[in-house]
Amino acid sequence: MKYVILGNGPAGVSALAAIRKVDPTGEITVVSPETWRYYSKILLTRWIAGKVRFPSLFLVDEGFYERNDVKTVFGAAATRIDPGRRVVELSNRQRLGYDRLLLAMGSSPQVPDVCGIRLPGVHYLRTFDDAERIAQAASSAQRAVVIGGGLVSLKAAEGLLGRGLEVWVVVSSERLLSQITAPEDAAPVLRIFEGTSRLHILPNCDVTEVEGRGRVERAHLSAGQRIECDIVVVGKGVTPNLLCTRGTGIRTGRGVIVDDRMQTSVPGIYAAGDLAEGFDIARGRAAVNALWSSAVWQGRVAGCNMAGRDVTYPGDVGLNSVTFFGGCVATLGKTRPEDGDEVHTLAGRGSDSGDYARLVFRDDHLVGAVLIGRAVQTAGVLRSLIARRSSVARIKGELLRGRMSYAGIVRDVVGLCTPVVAC
Amino acid sequence: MEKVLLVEHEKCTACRICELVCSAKHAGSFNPAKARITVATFLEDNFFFPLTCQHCEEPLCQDVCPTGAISRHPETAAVVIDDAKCIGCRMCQAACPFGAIAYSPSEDKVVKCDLCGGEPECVLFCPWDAIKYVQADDAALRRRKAVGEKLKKALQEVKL
Repeated sequence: MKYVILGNGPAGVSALAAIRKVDPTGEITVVSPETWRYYSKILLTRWIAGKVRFPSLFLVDEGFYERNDVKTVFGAAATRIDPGRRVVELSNRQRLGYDRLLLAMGSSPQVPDVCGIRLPGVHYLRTFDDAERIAQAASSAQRAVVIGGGLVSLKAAEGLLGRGLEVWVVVSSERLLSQITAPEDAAPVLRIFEGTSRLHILPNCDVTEVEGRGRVERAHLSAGQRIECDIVVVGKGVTPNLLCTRGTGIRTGRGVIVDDRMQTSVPGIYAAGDLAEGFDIARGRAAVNALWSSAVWQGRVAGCNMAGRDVTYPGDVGLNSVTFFGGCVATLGKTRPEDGDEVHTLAGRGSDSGDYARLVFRDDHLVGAVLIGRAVQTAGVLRSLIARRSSVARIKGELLRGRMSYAGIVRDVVGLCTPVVAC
Repeated sequence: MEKVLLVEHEKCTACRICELVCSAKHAGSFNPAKARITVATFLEDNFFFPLTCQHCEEPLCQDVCPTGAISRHPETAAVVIDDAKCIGCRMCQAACPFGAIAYSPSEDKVVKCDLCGGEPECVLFCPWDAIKYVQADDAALRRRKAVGEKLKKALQEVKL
């Protein structure tokens, strides 16, 4: 059996490991446009800030691919897939035949429609090479403009602050992290970032033009201001890399459409990770969840099925944890309520404790949560309640009192069956 | 053979000595807030439950860790965190269904039970024998499974 894996991130490498477990002798080839072995994208902003050393970025050692008898084609991307002949063409002119193919090419940063956005000094943060360019530019820079108020932007801002730069974060929305929170979370979320020295957050604002002679010198804002800066980092979301699926018959929506075995509409071709539309339990439908954890699980399921095991993907719950200089917000499942959803907000003891929890219910099910401060400790328990899709009617009172421990749930569902010793 | 922690919550009196000795061993002070084990107490129901890491066979925390900091100890089979690799991103906390991973703000890292390298302090000091460290033989696993089954059954009941 010949396997070709397009992508060397968490989805691709999890699939590789799963295939090797099930099929010890099959021929596996991993293709990646990057030249580095499997590394952690999550660590890049910390590496920029100088908090993580270069070797710590890597999640496997140098001998990993050889030890697993995996061929690597690094520095090349798939340009065309021919499902009829079962061949993938690569940008280096190589042609690879396959019996099973995995699409795990991930996603690419979106380029905003802003005048001057192609100027040198405008950066994106997706790969190690991107991070290296930012780190290099930051070493001689003093002022940075970050476009976007999402996860990547804020982590990039943290990295740049860590290098001593002054940073302006320009956010179109009225609040930070608008894609994973609701308007009512705005104030508690903002408090995590407020008060950070050298950090300026500009909500309700867009960059209308990036300007400079030969390279970035300033950014013009919709509010009329202009900010002198040496670098611009763009974090306006990502789009799945679907280019090479064109003309193949592989059905796509926002991402690649897959069944519960992670197989695409073309037999023998699977998809996993940032470009796949996996089942989202909280939303009750398929969705692109560009998350590290989803990529790992989807990759594993795809790999098992590619190698002949019958494994279903049970679906996942959107799971984000954003830390910023010790502060933390975790978001689970559906955080923006729809009609008919019930929302409860729990503030922590004392108004300035910073603790905050907002729970979203639908009928008798928990479907989402936004947690800040100490409430983050309960995230895992809540996530399993969402994923289990069972009624929380009996423990709802407990949840709303903020007692969201596993033990509290055990007590309510098992504890009452335990004989109580009379004193 | 591997050994596992066996909790018999019926025996627990919520004296919380386990929390004290755990924090003393791992954090150097008698401070339950720094313990890797927590006794959930529900006085009104006389229900006490010492909670710590289950050292799952397929740990979700390990799956979601984006820095490869979580692994299984080759000797004790404990699921352990490599301090040097942990960046305190707290994804593992958000994945653990048992809420068994705590965050230490002073170190900006997460901490959890590591079975004390094979000699769990909580087991040594529990006056009531409510926490045991036993061979993972059939009997022990059956007993652990029984608690799980009970929970599962109750949860299915709730579903109706």
